[in-house]
Amino acid sequence: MKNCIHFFMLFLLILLLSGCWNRREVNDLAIAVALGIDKNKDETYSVSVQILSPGEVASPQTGGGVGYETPVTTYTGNGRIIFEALRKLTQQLPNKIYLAHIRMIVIGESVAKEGIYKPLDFLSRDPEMRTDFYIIVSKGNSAKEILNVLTSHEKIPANKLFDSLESSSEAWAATGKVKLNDLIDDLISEGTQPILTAVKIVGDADAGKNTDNVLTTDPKASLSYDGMAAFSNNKLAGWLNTAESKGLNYIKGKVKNTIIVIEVNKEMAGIELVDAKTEIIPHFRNGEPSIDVKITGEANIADSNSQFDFMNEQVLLELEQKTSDDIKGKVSQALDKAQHDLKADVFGFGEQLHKADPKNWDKIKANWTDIFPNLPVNTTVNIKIRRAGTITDPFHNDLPKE
Amino acid sequence: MEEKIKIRISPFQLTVLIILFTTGTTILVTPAGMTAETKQDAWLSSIIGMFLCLGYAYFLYKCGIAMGSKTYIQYLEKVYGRIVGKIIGMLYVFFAFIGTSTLLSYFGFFTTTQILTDTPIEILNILLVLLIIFAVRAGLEVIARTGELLITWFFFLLFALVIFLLPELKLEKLTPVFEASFSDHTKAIFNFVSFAGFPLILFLMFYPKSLNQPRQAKWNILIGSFIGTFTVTVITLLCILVLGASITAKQLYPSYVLAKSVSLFEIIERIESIMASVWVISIFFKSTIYFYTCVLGLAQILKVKWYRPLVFPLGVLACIFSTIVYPNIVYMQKWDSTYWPPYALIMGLIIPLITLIIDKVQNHFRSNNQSKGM
Repeated sequence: MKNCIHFFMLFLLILLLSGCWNRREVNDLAIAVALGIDKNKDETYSVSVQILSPGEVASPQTGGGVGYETPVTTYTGNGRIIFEALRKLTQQLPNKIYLAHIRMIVIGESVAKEGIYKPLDFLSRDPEMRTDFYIIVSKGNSAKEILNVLTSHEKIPANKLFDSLESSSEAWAATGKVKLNDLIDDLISEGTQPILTAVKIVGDADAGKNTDNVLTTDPKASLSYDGMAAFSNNKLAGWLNTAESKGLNYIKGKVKNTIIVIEVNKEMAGIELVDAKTEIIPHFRNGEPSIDVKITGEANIADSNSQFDFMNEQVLLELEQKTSDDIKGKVSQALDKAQHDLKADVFGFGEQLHKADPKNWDKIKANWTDIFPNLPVNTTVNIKIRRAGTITDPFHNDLPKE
Repeated sequence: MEEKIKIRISPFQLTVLIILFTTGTTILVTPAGMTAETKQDAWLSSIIGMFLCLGYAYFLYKCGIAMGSKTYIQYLEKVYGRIVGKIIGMLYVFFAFIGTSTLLSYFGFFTTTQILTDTPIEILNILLVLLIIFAVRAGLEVIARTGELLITWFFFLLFALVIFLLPELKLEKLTPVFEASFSDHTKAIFNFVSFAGFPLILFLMFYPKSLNQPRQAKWNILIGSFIGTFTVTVITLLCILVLGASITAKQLYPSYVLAKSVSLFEIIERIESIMASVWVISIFFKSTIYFYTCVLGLAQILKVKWYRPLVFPLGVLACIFSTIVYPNIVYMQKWDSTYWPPYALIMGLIIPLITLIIDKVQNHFRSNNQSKGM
């Protein structure tokens, strides 16, 4: 008898303890994949949420894909704070928004100009939010417009942005992957200013909303990364173009692989930089800060449209020199822009000085914004070309003379 | 009670209990408190704190020797006389009671903040308190054996977390080293020792009496304290290396956020429940030991034969108290950083130290008198 009671109680426990108090089934969730934050004229935020349409994303074999839905839908709500805007959206949506699967946060240019700190608090405080998404800034268009563009090839625009950011930062090096914690770290650090990758719409923003945009081989609108946004004291200070962004990534040591086009006697050669390393050496000489940037790396010859004699060592040395000069040029463009135009230490030189010599840094940190524009930075670049791809001399050398 | 039922645990079980007790709340919250004081040097404060805890553990061992076959409550009565001894004993019972309630509350706050956001906090507290009541009714031996079983899981999961985090480590987050001032370090170390060291005083409620080989305990206590504090040090170091000092300091539960950042080959991701289970294991043991010593202490003061009848009513009280002990999160932070450390210092070090000195002096006079008498 006693055993029976025990057995019964165990069963009761299974019933009572296996469920969650606040469980939510998958079909009750509105899974958000991207969040866009814009600022309205009346000081309110407009939050756009890209929500998955599960039926459209699932493959047709498993019963999905009725065909009258877009893979994602973007809803927009207004509120004085992000949280209010998000909760207001429940009026438009069938379900409560589930934020744990967000991949991209797009900060609108309007918010960037006003200051990015305020919306970040919610992202960091909300327990449902995870911090493994990337943050980017929209350039020219609002964040809402960015999230409205449908993309082909990758059905979910947020995933397209995510993957494209990863691949471009690895193979092109003019973008930067910034996660929430990195951004906050940069924001509160005294010796570094944040930078975020900029995204823009190529083509007609309105056309991008329609499924027609993905039913063609030549989409009318597409999303593309375009340089970076530099911040100073929490506000957008200016945009870095592609060359400057590359220069910045060289200094930050974030270049994994990129290409460099060099010109010798009006003829072009493409060099693939495969392994670049950056060393930043901060100095204090009599209390005066200065920075040495040393970039070393290896490169391959990847492309040539003219008659180089690659097998001649002299030519190779010249190419190496030109490659180094090109990197040096980009670095000095980035330095020039940041020091004289934006006056924002996006390289984190201040932080490097802090790490190297905390005592001297304490003396100058209050005036860092004034010191940075005149900070002497010496750049030395040393690139070695090792390989030349799978062929030797270009075919051009054997072409019949015209 | 003393003669009829003998509760005996082995020295190894004592080590296990000390490890789980030390890591308890410490592993989840101290990284934030310490990085708030010493920033990226918190690992250093943690290591210094580790050695102070070792010293403290040695002090407890010495107390244990002085107590001989008496429990701490009986020892207090012996040194201060019956009335004063009982009053001081009550202070310890209350200390353990507060500890139980705050831990229940910790568990509730953590779970409702991070995991089960819509569940009423009372339900979680009741679930944990039922488990604790069950464990304490079963007795110390059962608790100790459960500890032996679960500590393997505890370290296995913790080890897995450390391995998964290796690719995320950024060594430059540690620089500049040795930036924190001496006074910052003092605060951080005090905070560390008051969570990882001083509460160990409650072990005197059953150690060395409930040990089957009391003489061997020295190394077991020291090793237990060392492993426990070392675990906390490793987690603190990981927090700094992965999240960075400023982010860690701002978090309520940094080690949970730490587990959130695991992303190994894009396959092993989102494993923060591992961290949560590690912590739930350790908080279960910490609150169980707090509660066990609370009940045991009260039973000894009241001189009741057997502590079991006290378990359920005290458990209900602790559960009710847990819902009001921290009215809100701000109070919790304030209590933990401002009031708890001195409280733990008084209960954990000052009172036992004074007691020990008085006892030595008494012994000295007693033996002098005896030798004169002869």
